[in-house]
Amino acid sequence: MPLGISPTDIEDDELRALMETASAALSAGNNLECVQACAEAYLKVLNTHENVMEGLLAVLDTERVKSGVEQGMIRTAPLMWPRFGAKLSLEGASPEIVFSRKNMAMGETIQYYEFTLDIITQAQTGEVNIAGPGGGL
Amino acid sequence: MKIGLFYEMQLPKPYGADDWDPEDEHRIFKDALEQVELADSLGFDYVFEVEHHHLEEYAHSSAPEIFLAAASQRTKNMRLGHGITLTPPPYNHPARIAERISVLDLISDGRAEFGTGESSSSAELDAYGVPWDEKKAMWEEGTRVAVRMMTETPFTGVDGDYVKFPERNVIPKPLQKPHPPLWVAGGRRETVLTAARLGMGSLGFGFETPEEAEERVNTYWRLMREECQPIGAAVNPGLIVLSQFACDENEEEAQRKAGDGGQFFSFALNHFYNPVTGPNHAYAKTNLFTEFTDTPEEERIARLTGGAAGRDQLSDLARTEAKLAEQEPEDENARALWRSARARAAIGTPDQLRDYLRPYEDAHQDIMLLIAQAGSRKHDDIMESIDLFGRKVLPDVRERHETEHKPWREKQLENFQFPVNSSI
Repeated sequence: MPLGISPTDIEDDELRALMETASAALSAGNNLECVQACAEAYLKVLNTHENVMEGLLAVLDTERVKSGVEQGMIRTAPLMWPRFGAKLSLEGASPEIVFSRKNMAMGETIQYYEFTLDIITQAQTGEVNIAGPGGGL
Repeated sequence: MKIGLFYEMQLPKPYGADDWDPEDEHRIFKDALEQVELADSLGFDYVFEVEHHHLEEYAHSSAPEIFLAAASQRTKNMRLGHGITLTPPPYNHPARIAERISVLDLISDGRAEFGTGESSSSAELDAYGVPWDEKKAMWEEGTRVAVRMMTETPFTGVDGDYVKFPERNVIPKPLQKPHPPLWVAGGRRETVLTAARLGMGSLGFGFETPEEAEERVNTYWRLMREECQPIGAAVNPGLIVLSQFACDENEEEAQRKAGDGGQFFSFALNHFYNPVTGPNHAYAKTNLFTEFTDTPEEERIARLTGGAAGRDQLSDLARTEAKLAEQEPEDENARALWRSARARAAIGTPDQLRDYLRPYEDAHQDIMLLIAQAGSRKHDDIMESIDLFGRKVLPDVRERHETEHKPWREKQLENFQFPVNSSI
């Protein structure tokens, strides 16, 4: 996956607008606003790109990730919304992001932002990579 | 590109034994000091040492500030890097970090590098009460406060989410102003981007190829110029890459010297960081080196891809080296471990190492840290490798750093909007 993708590279009008909002919020230091815009964009991708959702479910079903999520010991995995102060829930009728705190560190915010740009790029190109970025030492 | 050494203080247990030999831990630290002293005399630029706790056999380096203080009195020029300091406050209070970094900087005549990080093992996080979903936020707040304590006179106090501390003058202050160069460790692409946006050097654990390094260099510098919001009072533009290391005039002998170091490094790290195996570690009982030795090579590699699915998938394919090479994992975490275990890396003759380093130099990588001490590598072999590399390879690399890389960096830093404190 390419590094440093820009919101202007996004083809979908709604996703591009969300990520431009996220980018502006990040630059202004409005971390929560940035993460909220990223969360909205991520959920839109999950709801509109079946292959991304299928890939995510496959990732969540691997031994490493399943065990890590159950024990609260994993924060990142391919296609999985990072588990910092806002976490993905698939328990309802449709996916949602649950915020457990309102203070997001800049480092967390950057990671949410770059992750979301990457997912949008994968959805846009159709090259969904369940072994792609998202792991981490 | 500058060159340094990187230490975890690995200490595999003797095969089949319940414990180390009584002198082993004493020996590993004394040996490392000798290695560092030799490297300094030959012109190596850096030594970085990790902070880890309880990661038996993988890393016995729990107090890098003590080792680096000793190294400061045996070396003259080498930069002394905390690679890294765990800055989430439950590990180390920011005031204590600021004091320790400052004293190291003072007694080394301004040679300290302040590396920061979080760790990702249950052995450490759970023991110190660092919640997994808050450790990044804790890292950031701990780092910000520690830097403020080094630069504010007096420190004006903090009422943060994780640190509450009144107005005090945190002393002594570091020799380097406004503070030693700042680094953040990580293997993920996002960490490189985070480093750039926060004005920090990136201490990368990704074992990147030169092609990947080049892409990261370009993106890192663009973000540093355009999007940087410094975490400290000065920025430290810099990218570090790691490589396993052994050197000999004879290629086969270099491979022998490297031995199992790279594979053990990955095997043991994966053991502690994997949510399946890490929590099941039996402290003072598990003998990782025995488990490593008794595990077939293809199984060791397959474990790095993560989980039973990876094992099943690879066991049929991992019959030949060529097929294994095709199976390099795409997951960044697994790939870094895989490469540490499999890649040729900086292992070979002086000529081979020149060829290995050059593409990284051409990609404008700033620093390569060599992992000389890993697995059951022998001290005498490590000393010979450092000596040979230092005499036959390092002079040319240092020369090219001055004539090619430094002018390139100066160009990147033209019209830079923030103060820079970098040793590169």
